[in-house]
Amino acid sequence: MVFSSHSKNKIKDDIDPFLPKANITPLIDNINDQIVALDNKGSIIYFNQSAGKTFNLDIYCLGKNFWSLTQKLIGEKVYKNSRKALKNSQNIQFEHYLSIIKRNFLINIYPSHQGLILYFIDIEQSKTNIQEIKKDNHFLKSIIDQMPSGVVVAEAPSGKLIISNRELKNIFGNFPKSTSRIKQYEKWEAYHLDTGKRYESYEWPLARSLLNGETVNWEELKIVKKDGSVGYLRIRSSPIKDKQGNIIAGVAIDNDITKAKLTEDELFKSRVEFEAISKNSPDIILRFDKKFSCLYANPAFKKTTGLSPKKVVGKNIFEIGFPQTVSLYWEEKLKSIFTDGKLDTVEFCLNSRDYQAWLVPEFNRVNQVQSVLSVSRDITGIKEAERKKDEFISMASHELKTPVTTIKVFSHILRKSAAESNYEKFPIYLRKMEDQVNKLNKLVDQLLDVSRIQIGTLELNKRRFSLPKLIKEIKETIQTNNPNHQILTKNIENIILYGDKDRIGEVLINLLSNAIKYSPFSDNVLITTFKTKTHIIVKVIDYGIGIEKQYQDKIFQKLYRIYDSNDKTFPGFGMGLYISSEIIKLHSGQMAVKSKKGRGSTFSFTLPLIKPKTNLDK
Amino acid sequence: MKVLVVDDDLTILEALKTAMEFNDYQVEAISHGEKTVQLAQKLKPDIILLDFLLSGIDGCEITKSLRSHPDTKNIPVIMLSAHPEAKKIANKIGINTFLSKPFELDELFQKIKILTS
Repeated sequence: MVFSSHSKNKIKDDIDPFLPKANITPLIDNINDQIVALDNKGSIIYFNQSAGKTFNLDIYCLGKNFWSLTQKLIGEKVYKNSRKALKNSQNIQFEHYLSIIKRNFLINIYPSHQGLILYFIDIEQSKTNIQEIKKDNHFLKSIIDQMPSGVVVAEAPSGKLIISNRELKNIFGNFPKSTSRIKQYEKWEAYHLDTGKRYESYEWPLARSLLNGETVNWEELKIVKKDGSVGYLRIRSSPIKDKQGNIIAGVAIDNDITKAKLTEDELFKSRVEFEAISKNSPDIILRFDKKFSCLYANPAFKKTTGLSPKKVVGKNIFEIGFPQTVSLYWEEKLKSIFTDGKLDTVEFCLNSRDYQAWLVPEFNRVNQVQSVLSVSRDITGIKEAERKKDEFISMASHELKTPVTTIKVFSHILRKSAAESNYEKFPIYLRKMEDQVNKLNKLVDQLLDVSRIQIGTLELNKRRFSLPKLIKEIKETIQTNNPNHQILTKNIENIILYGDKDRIGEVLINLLSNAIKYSPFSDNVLITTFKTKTHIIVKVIDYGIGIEKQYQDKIFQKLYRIYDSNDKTFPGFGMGLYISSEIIKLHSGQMAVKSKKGRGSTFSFTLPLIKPKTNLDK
Repeated sequence: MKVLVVDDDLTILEALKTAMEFNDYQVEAISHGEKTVQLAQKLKPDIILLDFLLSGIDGCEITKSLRSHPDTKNIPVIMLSAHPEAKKIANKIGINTFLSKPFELDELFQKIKILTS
């Protein structure tokens, strides 16, 4: 502290009459503002405590020139304004920043004929406050502008718009800020969703909040957007009231729901379509979530189980009226579909009827299976038809074979007795008759096999057998019946296989017979084998007429027959290769052909080798 | 050699009887399966040729009856059938040999020879 608290010390004795009298000096001294009185020459007549502190003045400064003492601190502008005030005898007020003490002041200069009074008001704090307010305002405005919803604020009761944000402009184009009355709201084009009528100005949610104080909670409107396209808005609007409860403004939030609405419309459409299909479908349609709870069941489910869809929705797979074994089976299938996302089918029996179900995974946006839709079809009729067909074929083959047996026996007797008599040609004719009977018998067998393959009832009698031994037996049989051809063997692996020896034998007979049949101008047919790490490959090679490339992958199809260029077919029903390849498939092998027209064909099949016993097997 | 042939199809029965007699077998042929055991007890054949599906009774039941009587339990039985399931069943019920219809007569005679020697 530079001077004493006795204020009289700071007042020059020849004091000016307009200066504070000693009795009011304590009051002035305690004012926070800085007060300095100068004479016409600029000498200090008086300063209060606050001025002393701020401008570094003490009692010894009295009578000294204020401007010289405070030159750096106060600055040129204050001096100049003081001269001006004196010259014009006019009060001057201005804001000035004192850079050394880093504060803003409002400076009042009061001139008189004897001098002047400088009155400094520190406005630093209020300046900062104003700046804070400005910052806050800017901040709020930015937030409102960044909001994904359109925001509009209007005064009550006029309806004059005072705030609007960027999103509102996006929706309506250049939003007319000049709108000053509710009546003008009618220029915006919007329609009621239910009636299709256009919104009157007073019907707008904002207008209703302003006029009636109504809080409108998400009203949906159809609008015409700035680009002329149709859009949808969802608006929330509420009044702003003062302390007395008077409506002073209204604020509306507008959400553009066009995309959602259009998607919703699409969804609604597809839902209607799905329901129409699902409700009228004779197939049972169910949907399951990850916990195997039923999310949906269609009316066909009730027809089958007697349980209404309402009773099963929300229930677990074990609670929807399926037998325990069926539920377990489904649970297992559903589990794997939720894991690998692959479509699957299951066959099951429900209330004495057979069903086949397609289990279809349904994915969410991130490609995870979110539910599984099942469509189950009653295949009792198909199964029954299959069973009847099988029965018929069994019966037909049985019935066909009985007369064949009789013919065979009689022709055998005739041949034997004719040989003993002198009818030379009888044995030849009778042999031919027997050959045809054998052929007929083979066809019946093949028909039966095709039928069994189709319904999956072809059974194999698997056991260990020697491959070279089988090849030798078959080779001898075929060789005896086909003396004009030479059947050769090469590199026959000496191995034991596991499978149905008779059926594999049939495959070999089929391939060898074909090789001979289609080699009318060449004598040799070769059997050879090749061993890989896991399989044995058996090849039957001929040098006959060959097969054109276009037919090569079709010849293993059921009842496929090759037509030659004259539209004639080769003899046979097209069952032999189909049956052979199916037999090989049932042994986990594969059948293939390589051929060149005119050069011959190589038919090959693979069979898995017997796995060597591991320690575990022992 | 005495052979009892049982088949409900009369033409097969006739064909078999003719063929076997031609080959010097002594043949008794019947079409009523129920009489098989009774006749077998009486005739004591060296071998029985039996069809699988007979009217009234099937070849399996007949075989079971034959096997349960001391007089007939050791008579070899050859089953003859065109039925696709017959072979599987025949193997389970103690049939000595199964031949699928139509069969080669030579093969039948060979099997008879093996079973009766």
